[in-house]
Amino acid sequence: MSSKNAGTFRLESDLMGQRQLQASAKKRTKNPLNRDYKAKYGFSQPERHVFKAKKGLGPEIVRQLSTMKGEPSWMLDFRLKALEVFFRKPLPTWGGDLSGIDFDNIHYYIKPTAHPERSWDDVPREMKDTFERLGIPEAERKFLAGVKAQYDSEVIYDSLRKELAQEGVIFISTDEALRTMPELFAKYFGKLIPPNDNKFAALNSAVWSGGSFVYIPKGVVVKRPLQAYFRINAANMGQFERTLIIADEGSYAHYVEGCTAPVYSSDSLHAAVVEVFVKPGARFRYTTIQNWSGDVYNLVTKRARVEKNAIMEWVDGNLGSKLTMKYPACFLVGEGARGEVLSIAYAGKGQHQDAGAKMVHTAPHTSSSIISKSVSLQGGRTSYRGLVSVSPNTPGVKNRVECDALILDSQSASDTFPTMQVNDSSANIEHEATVSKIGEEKLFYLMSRGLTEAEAMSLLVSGFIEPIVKELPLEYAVELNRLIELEMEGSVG
Amino acid sequence: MKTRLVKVGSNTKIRLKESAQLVLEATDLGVNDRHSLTLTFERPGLEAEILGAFKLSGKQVLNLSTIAVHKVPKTKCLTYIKGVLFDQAVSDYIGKIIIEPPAGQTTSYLEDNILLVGRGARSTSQPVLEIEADDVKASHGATAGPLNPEHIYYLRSRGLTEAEAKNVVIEGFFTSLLSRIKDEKIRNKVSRRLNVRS
Repeated sequence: MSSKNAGTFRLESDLMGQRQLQASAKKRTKNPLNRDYKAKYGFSQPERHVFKAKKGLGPEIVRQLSTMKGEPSWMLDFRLKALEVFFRKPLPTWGGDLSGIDFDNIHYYIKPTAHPERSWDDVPREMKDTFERLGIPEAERKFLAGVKAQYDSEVIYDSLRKELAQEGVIFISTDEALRTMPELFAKYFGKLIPPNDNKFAALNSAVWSGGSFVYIPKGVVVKRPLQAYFRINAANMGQFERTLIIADEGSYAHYVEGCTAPVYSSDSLHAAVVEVFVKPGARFRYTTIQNWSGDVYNLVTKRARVEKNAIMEWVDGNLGSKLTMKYPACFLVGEGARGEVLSIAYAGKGQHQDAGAKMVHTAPHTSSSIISKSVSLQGGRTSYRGLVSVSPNTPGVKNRVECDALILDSQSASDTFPTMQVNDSSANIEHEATVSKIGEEKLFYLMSRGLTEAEAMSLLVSGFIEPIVKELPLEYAVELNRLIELEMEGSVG
Repeated sequence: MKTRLVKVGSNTKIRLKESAQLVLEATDLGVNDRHSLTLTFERPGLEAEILGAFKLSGKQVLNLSTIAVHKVPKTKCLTYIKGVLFDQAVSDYIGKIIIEPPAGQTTSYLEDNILLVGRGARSTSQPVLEIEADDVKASHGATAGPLNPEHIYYLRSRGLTEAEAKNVVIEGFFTSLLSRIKDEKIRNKVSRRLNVRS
């Protein structure tokens, strides 16, 4: 990765004018973070694993994995069938370029050691600086840097868990759920996203490991966001995590995964599956903010089944990665159900964010809205890909889609591919999309007030994504804004 | 800007030589073949409008694509498509705007509006943007929906029958597009086909 990144970096320097080169060189010496991904976050820790499956994929690996986890035989059968589906299905020909994935060069299962050790002094300075600038709390820094296997605020998590347990809320890892509550698990697992849904859902079904299992009982309102963050340790931060959520009648909860700190991954494929069941009258919000390292293919299938008068909200922030293909979906199956997707995509050098949403209306008086904002710069590409479908005999469906794309320089690109299938004549469907660059007059105004061009740009980008950022929990919103500032430095002049 | 009637076949390609208004004449309505128009801008400074209006009834099916390809700087394209679907009519529209890397300072806008009048009417719409240049204005809007019941109610309260009220609203729906057509003869011809007084 290092040599490749160095290459692209040189190429970019060649493209810049002499004056710009000097200016950016000055900026770089002032701020050593401001290089490419490797320099900014490219850290890894010496690997120490109890068990590591050999690279490549086949039935033996899947059997071995299932045995290691001590799973029931139905799960092994499920995995093996899914593996067949995976081999049978061709790679998607649409979307981003997937030809770079080498399926034989990936570890499909790694069982980490209980206590990876690493001293804080060994953590690269750049990374400490990144944490500093993102304003990540001291305790979390150590966890993220791999110094502590368990998040320092174990105590906080414990008290949170007690509080949740009192109300009957289950918030455990998916592996644990399979062991401890097999009946509830089997009732919902793979029912919304079966292995033959798509190639990467099949891959996940065959080799899944980790992820969260959440059950919110009837009528329970969980006030604090459920943060996967608290629960995650190395074992759960897998590349093939599987999340299963059931929000029972009239309940409410907000689940948050990921964080703005860069996620280092040793293998370059992340294929997760997330299934959410929202029962009548319930409301569930699922927030993702992820910042993958620049060589990761992030291919995730997310889907929610929304019943009568229930509400599902996906808040989806896509940063980092080489290619992201992710289209959170709401299947609105009960009368009066509502689905919402808020999506931000940010594509920098060498990145393609192919994100969007799907709204499938199969019941009367269902409504949905999709708001997508994307920013591309330094040769990045953002694509919005969406589907709104209205089934026959579903009166009173309403949908609104709004996509705005910002292109910051002439090397970058943006696409919009929406599809609207209206099979009931009473449906009201609206779609609007714009692609533009930052207005010269806005830049000029801000610069006349004493801001540098970079500061003005980053302020305008923050303003552009603000409608979505304000929906995030406060600490995430603050971190995301700082991250974008950090990423944008050196993108001009 | 000259107005031209354009017959759209399965793969009609136009390389724009001078600024023009292109009014689509989809004569083979109800045939399941795709009608496709590709309009390419190869000279800077050219402007074009693509105007398409259709009424479908019975079990008619219309498959239509319009593709605007901007290859050079400073071109402008406005695309307006309006369709009214009665009975079990089906429309499937793809409207693409492609702006290639050299085509800075391009303005391209596309709008498609479908009125679903018949209970069994269905529509699919795919407005696509592929933008590879930065200094551009590109946007699209698409809507699909039934006649506004409030509009009908208002007209009925003024003594119009249900059928008359519907006709008035549908005429109004087409008028904004028809009034863009600069050539009177062509405007009249299109209006007659749509059964709209001009």
